[in-house]
Amino acid sequence: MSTTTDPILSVEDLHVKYGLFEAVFGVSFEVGPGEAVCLLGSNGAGKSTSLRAVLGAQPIAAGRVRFLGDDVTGATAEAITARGMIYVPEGRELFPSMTVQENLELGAITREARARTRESMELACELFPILAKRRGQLAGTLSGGQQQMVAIARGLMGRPRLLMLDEPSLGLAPVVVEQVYAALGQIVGSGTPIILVEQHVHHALELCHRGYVLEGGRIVQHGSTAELAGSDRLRSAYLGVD
Amino acid sequence: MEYSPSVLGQMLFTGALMGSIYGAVAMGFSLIFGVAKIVNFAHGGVVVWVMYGVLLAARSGVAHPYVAGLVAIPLCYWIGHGVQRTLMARVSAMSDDMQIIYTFGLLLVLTYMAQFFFGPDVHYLPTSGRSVEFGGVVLQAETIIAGALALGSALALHAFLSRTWLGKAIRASADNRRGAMLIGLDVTRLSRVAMALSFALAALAGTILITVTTFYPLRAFELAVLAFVIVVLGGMDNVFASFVAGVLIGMLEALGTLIFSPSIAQMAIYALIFAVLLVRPQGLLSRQATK
Amino acid sequence: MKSTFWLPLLVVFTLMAASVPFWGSGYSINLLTQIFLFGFLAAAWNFMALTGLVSLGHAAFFGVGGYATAWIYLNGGANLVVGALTGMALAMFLAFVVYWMAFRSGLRGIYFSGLTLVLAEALRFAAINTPALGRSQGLELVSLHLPPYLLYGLTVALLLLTVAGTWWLLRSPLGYRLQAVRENEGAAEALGVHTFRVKLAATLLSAGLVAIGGALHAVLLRFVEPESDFGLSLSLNLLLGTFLGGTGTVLGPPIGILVLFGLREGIARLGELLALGSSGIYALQQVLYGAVLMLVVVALPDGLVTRVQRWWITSRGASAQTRPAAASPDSSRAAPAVRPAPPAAMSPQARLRDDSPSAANTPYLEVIDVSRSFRGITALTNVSFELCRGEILGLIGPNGAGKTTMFNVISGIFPAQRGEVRFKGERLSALAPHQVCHRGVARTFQIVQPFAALTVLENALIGALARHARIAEAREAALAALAQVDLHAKRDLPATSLTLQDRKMLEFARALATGPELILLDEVMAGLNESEKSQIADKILEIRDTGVSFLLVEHNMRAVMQLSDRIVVLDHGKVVATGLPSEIAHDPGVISVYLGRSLAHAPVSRAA
Repeated sequence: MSTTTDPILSVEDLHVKYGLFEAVFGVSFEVGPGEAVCLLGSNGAGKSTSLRAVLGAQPIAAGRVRFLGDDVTGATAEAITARGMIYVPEGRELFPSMTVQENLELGAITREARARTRESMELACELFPILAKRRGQLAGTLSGGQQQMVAIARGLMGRPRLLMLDEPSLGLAPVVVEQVYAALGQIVGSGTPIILVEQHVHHALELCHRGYVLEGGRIVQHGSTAELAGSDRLRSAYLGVD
Repeated sequence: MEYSPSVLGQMLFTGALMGSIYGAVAMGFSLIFGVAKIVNFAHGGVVVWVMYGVLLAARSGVAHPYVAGLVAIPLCYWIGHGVQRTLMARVSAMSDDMQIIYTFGLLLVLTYMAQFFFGPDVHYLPTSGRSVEFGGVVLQAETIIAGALALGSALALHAFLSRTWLGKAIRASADNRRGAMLIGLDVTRLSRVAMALSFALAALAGTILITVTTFYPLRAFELAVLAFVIVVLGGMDNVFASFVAGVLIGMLEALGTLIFSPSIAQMAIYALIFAVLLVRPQGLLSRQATK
Repeated sequence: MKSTFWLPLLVVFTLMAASVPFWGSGYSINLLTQIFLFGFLAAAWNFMALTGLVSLGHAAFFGVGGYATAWIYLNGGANLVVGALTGMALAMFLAFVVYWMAFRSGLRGIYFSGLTLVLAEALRFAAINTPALGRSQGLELVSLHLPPYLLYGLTVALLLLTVAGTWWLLRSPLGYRLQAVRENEGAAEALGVHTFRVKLAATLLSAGLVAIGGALHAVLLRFVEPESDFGLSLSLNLLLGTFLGGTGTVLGPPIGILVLFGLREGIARLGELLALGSSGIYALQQVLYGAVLMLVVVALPDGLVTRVQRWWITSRGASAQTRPAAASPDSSRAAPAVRPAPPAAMSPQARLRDDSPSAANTPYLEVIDVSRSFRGITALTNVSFELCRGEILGLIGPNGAGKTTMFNVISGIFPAQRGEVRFKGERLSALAPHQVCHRGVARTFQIVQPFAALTVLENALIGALARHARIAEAREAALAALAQVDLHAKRDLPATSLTLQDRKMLEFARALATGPELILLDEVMAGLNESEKSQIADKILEIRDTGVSFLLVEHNMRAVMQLSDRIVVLDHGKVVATGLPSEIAHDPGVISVYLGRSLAHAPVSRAA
């Protein structure tokens, strides 16, 4: 696909440190318009760290982040979110003592998004019918799968220009993971660019167009998901066997 | 023991009204702990300074107490904003013990500066003498107004926190600060708003307190301990619960005073708090399972 | 060392103090008695502060001591010693009851401090309401006339004793354990420290001593009354003095009190000059106290004494930098008889060289049908596996599979809700973490947290104290453990100055010092580069050869595959596969756990 249009997100040579040690060493990736991109790799490879650094939630030691044509390196999380880069956190991070409805409302971060709250809420309930029934329930009392749905819907409420998902299948039963990914498929189908971090590989490969494999804080392979699915590099990155 | 209905009624109403004023004091403390995770012992000091300010305004004839309060509230809101920006932002990063010590130091400074400038004497505002009577119960006009204002502010705060987007954002950042930051809420700004509100509430509490009771610099300590006690009872996660807990404490105090004496009532309240801390530290009215 | 610095100071102090009765006026003796008394009280408060808990209500014990002494004097026939001892006993009993309940409920932070505050206030109100105790007026010891020299001498003696006691305590097993608990209670517990008992001991000691101080105060002032004996300002003064001087130090509390008194007198003089009046002066003093508190938190959180010590060391260190040329002969002399890592000295491991043929294959650690859920989320379901003696067993699985929960169940942080864990045939599952450690199972933590205020050697010492009751033996064991991980040369460095790799080695050494037979390693490779990882892997193999078994949780696949004798794979809380690394790497079930069913059967182009 010819990209005469600029990528939505472009990350160049990202380095991230946690105090004493370096977690990410010179990682580069990009997301084009309408694309679904995945970051794969075993735990500790630096995937979530990279995502949080791009969002502005983690200090960047070196590198450049460009979003929608603007350089947003070093900007705060609220500034970047306000521009349309919406993050669905690892482990959901809902507001447990607030209702589902309130959690969703809080996802509408910008004034424009808030103006269209009702519309967004309806779309969210179409995508996740279970939400409509449980609007008044406290988010902390939901099951893991339901929480994940609320978290994703909350992200959508912000009318994202790019949706970032951090391990959406974490801790969920396989059946529920199917449901979540079915919904994600619809989101991708509607043209919203997404970037997905996943430990469970096969769903990510089915959903996304392209992927990057990280190992030890570096990208060791990238390409279309079809290419990745057939490679051994992927297997060795996870299982440590050559 | 025989108590006529009017005596009981007197106790109930006075207790509830005083309790709602205590609740107003505690709400500001609870708000700032929930949102900015700061234990602000100095809250009591702010209340007492407002009381002195209103006293000066009233004594010098500049303004009627309530009018002075109307000025004090937005002024304190503005001051609270500044305080969070300067003093308190650093405090929220400290460990619990350091926070306690720091804000206690601040309480000392505020309390004794007040004593230095205004002297240790007891002050009070003369009451208008007007009262309302029904069914054998006599209530001072000021007490009723104070209670009404306290209740009104509690309801207003509750409405703000549960119906406006900003209020919900503040609750969210109290509920899960990290999550709030990750989804793009400006947690720093929210803490400032919460601190500003807390100061405004302190101003309101000071204004209504001075119309119904005597005060002296060391009141600040008593109020600090009172706020803590109320919040322990009500739970730190819900500001309105602090108000309700305040009303409860007020009624307990009135009951204890009626049956025994004021200081035994105080002791009974302390004993209750003791028990609550050991058995259910997250508060009687809290929805959390564990602290 | 430090003792050579402070010792002459103490001698000078004692001599000067002893001389005062000869030249001092009545006023100055009284003042000095008060200063020393508060210095003693602050040192007593310090014992409590060693646990890391902030007590805002120590006045409770002070008042109990004072009132008991006064009441017994007035009603029980003038015996002050009996009164003081009764007060002490009562205070300790009160402390025991209250703190036992508080520690059981796990109170800390603002809730704990609030509890102490409420306790003192409740007692104050009780005193106000009790006729026998004089209500708000208190009790007066009118007929008491003791020579001021006696009281002076008594307070000086108590102060010296407490300071010496603090010095001794900080070097005793209890003292080290206290510091460990203060830094990181969880880590301390995993190293065999009975944290509950340690905290309680410190608080009882503190309460008892403060009660004695209260008794002395009552005798000195010849009255007790609710405000001054149970009041908040008393508790605050103790807090302030200790904090300013330095909590947890030996000389901090008395020096802090001295500085405070100095400031107080200074304000008093200033106030007289400005004709402020007594209430104004008092107010200004309190304002100063408050400002000092705030300042100390922001600028001097460790207190004056520590800051001065550091300045002293760095100014000394500047002149010591000219010594590097002479370093080689010096360092070999400086290092005490360096013991090469003697495997024979590690008695538990030596015992393990049991050569009975069946010993090698008897299951050492048995996890039998363990299930555990949290608030509706099932973390582990019917997990069973075994670890044989001398084995390195790897526990792997995707994020969220339940590996850390399994570790926490084995090490005693959570009980298993169903099933059990056995070690050497005995039940492990119902034990607390420190008991698990004493049975011979040690663990490291994913996020390394050395005890920051201690040196490398002292960190290892905490572990060694689990096996050896006396400091001398524990020290040897700690040194041997450090030698095993090549940290012997860095033993006197502060733990915070180590690199990440060294910190991981220190975690290791701490666990080794407890003399374990099984070590649980929690993601020990995280954050290390390739060469560091292989160094740690070599270490693990070396130590395994001395007879220690390992259970590893790791995300680094290469490392686990190379290091482990066998592997257990968890997914969604269930065991998916068990076997040799080579089997596991090619097991379709395992591959599908990570990569999904579709990739599990993809052809492998290269042979393993």
